[in-house]
Amino acid sequence: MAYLVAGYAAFFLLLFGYLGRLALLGRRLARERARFAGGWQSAQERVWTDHSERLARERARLAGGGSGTRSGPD
Amino acid sequence: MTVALWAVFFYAPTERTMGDLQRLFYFHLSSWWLAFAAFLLVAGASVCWLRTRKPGWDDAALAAAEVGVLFTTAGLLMGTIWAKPAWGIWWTWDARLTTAFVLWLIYAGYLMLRGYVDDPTRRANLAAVLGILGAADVPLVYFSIRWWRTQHPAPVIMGGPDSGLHPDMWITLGICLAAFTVLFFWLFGWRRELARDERVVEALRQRGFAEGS
Repeated sequence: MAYLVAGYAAFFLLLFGYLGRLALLGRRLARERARFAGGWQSAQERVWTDHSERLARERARLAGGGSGTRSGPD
Repeated sequence: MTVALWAVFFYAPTERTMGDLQRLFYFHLSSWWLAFAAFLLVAGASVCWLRTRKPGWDDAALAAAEVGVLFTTAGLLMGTIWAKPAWGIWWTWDARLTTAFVLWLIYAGYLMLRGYVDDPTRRANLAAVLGILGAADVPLVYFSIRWWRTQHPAPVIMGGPDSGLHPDMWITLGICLAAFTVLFFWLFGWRRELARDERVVEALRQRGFAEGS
């Protein structure tokens, strides 16, 4: 019986430990969001836009770079 | 989870050979099934990231890996606690236990790798490759007790004519699997949201965003 209780105790300790970790991470991120204040939403959008633009540039570079020529300084 | 615990301790019949100790089976098995699902999800999300380069897939892979490691740790811990009274030893390097431990190591390494690489794209690419390769261990763990003779018992589900469960044990297992599935998707969704916020904060920091801007 002791092993049975120990097994379930181990499971719930792990689970609640992980929930605590997520809660702490959430709190830290909430503080970060507060630091960026009203700029959060626009900043978030800007990050996505930047990512899409970088991706588009990368795709264009790969599409145009099939000739084997190199650009930029060596 | 409360219903699952009630079913495990009060509804499921007591097993003849092992007695009450066998009640560890329900959470042990559910942990492993969800861990397997999590790691297959990591592989799927990683393939999607490599194909589409949409950051949401990388967030999903991270969330699934973290929850998968949680369930793997739970499965390993409950397994060792069960092994001591059942086999007389905490651990043995048989095929099932070794492949299971390797699976845990692979995805613990996956999470460590993510912590060591600074560049987000490089980190996501490296993690995706490891996430896909690591999932190859999932079928090895699953089939190990069918392919090799192991200290770990043969499968009781789909394990041949001598295997099987009492109908009430099936119902208990079903309740536990349902509870674990709900728990998994709740944790996964929460972690994925946090991963998205983490990435945005990291990107803002790297760009030197002014505070309060």
